[in-house]
Amino acid sequence: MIDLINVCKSYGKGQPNAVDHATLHVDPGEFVFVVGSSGSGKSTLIKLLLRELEVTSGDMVVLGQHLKKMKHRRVAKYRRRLGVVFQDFRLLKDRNVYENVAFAQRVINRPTRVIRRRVPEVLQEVGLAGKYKSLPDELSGGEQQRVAIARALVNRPDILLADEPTGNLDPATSLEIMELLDRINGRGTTVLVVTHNKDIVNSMKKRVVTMNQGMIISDEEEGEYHEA
Amino acid sequence: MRPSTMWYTLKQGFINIRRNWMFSIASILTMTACIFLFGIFYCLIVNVNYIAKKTEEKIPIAVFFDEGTTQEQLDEIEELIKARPEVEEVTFVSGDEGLENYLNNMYPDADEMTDDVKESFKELFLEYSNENPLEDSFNFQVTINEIERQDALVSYIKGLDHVRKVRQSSEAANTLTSFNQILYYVSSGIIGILLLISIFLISNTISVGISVRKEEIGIMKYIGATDHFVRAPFVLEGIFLGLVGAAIPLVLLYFLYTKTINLLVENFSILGGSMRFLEVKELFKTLCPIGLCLGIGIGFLGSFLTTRKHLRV
Repeated sequence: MIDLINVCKSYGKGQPNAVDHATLHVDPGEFVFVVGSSGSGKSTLIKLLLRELEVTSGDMVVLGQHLKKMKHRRVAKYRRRLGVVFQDFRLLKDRNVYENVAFAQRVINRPTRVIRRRVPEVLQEVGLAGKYKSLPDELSGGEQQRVAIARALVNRPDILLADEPTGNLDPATSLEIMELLDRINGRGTTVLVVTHNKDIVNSMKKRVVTMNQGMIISDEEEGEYHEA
Repeated sequence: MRPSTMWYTLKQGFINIRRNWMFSIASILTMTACIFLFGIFYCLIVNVNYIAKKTEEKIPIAVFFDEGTTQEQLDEIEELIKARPEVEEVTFVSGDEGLENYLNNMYPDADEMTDDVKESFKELFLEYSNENPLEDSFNFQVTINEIERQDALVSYIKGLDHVRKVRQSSEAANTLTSFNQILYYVSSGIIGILLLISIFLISNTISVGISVRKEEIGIMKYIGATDHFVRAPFVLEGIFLGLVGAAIPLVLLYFLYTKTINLLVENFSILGGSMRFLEVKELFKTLCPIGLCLGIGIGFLGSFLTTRKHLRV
């Protein structure tokens, strides 16, 4: 599902590699934590997976597509098979919960009847069915992140990428969000979570990939968070 | 594109305009000024051309013949010329009439002379010259109704047997054409500068719209929106601004042109007699589509270039 083959990413000539000779294989349906301290290359990895950045060397094959060779006009279609969740939620403040989730379907040209059926379904899935009329500012941080997850899920992605999804949340809410991601993974979606939340990683007993200075320094099944 | 997506695009375009209404108004006003000036110059150029054409049509082509051309041959040539569709009238001018015209031209006060005085003047002239020097200058005066075909007609007549010379009197028209060329270059320069300013202002308005919606655009791109989908509302905004910016001056010009022509014809009867201006409906048959296309084109170009520059996520 995700294959990194000796991937390097540098932001400019003479700059150190943000991702340095990384090799990684993720199977369909896996749940993977990518951990590491700030500047370890985790977020760059997410950007590479989103094809927001291009690899400097090596190759990246995601969902059977070589990202290095991918033409710009094909990126949009590729991204439709990914769901993405950010630390800062990135919700549209002037639109309510329903509209935020529906937005993800609208932009990929889904018919209105599909949107009307699918959005309540996914809101139910993340436990926000009763709050579909609320504006983001009327919700707690955890609820806003659930909206973001609903938006990421509404198009039934093959892979869900989460970049520090609990970074702005308290420990109890963080655990709820992780449990939600785990349930989503249980239904067959591959989940890749970038985090530096040690407690959560250690409690969930999932595969843990540790990065340091752009390099993958460990990759453990049912692993734990190791400080670099 | 689905109707719901089309509706969404339209709605977003109008939301952009509402959000940045000050910039939108500035863009519309600049476009209005630009198209208005374009319209004025266009009216001037088209009318000068029209007047030149009418003037040319009034001045006949003179066809002269070889010495000794018989009346039968003249009749034959006359029939051939008359058969041409662009020919309105063919008048025969004899040598005597030619002399009279010459004298009238030489002595502008000849109109005020009595017939007796004119006759004695002519006799005096003939006495000194022994014979009418214009005896062989009998000619056809050919007036045409399609000035564009004048050159073709002249070539045709020159190719006829017994035709010695064909004279085109296009000096007045040429003067007007030269004036028109100067007008064309001056107006092109001014309009060109204004068009660039319009493109810049529209581009600026769109840039502001993009920066206001930067976060939304970013999300759209992460979700998998195509470039076309992201750009469409902004391009639509540009086209709408261009369209409104073109429609306003066209309406203004319509009324202004009608009023001005009426005023010129009523208050300056000398102009009304010698010059005929293009009908407003005739003028707007071309000005309206050109103006609207210009507005839409500038709006499209300004917004398209800006979105291309800013929306590569």
